[in-house]
Amino acid sequence: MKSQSEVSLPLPMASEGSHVRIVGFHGNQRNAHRLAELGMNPGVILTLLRNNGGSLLVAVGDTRLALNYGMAQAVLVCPLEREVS
Amino acid sequence: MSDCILALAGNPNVGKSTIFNALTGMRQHIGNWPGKTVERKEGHVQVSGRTMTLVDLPGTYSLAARSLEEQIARDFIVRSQPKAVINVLDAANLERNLYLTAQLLETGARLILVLNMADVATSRGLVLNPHALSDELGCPAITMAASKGQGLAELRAALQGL
Repeated sequence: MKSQSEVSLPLPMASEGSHVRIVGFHGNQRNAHRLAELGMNPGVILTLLRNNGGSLLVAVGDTRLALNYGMAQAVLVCPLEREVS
Repeated sequence: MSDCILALAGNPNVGKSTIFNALTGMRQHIGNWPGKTVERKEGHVQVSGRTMTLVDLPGTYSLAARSLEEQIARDFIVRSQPKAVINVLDAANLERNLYLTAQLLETGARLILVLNMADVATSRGLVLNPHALSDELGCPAITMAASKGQGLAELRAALQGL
């Protein structure tokens, strides 16, 4: 589900306020399926608004989603250096 | 007293209740946060002398129900078999909204697509082509800015054809 050349890390390891692109999911399919339903598909750009070590707040388009740590851990992302509007 | 049942379905916070209020003249509470409608609400719409029952369903991302609100929405669409489902979409975030549309189409329900918040989409430079969407999915598509009352006449016209 993810391309080899990209750096990818679990979403909770990205820094607060950063923009990241989803490159894939790991863990069970149930989580991946639910995340896709919520609009979190590979290629989608997220903003990590808050990460308090327990749960995360992300912005996907105009929607904010709260994710628990386990769910967020299943999301593999690639940090984007440039600002995305 | 009522001809048929219609349902309003869509993702959370896309304007379903705003459209519900505009069509029924009711004042269902609306708020700018997702999950405002947690149970279904009913009202009546008058369309050229006919009375239709309109059901405002809770917002859902999918019909594979995980939460109570999603179960309410799914059960209604699947079991009550409304005459038509008015699928409200956020025109500024179409891609994610169309996931539910695909699932609704799979249920075999007759859909009317409402691309709501078209004003927001336009202000971001997005160009909507409802005809292309309509041709591709085989159901009418209407652009709307429900908070400003734009597009309601077109929706009423579409309801007339049911």
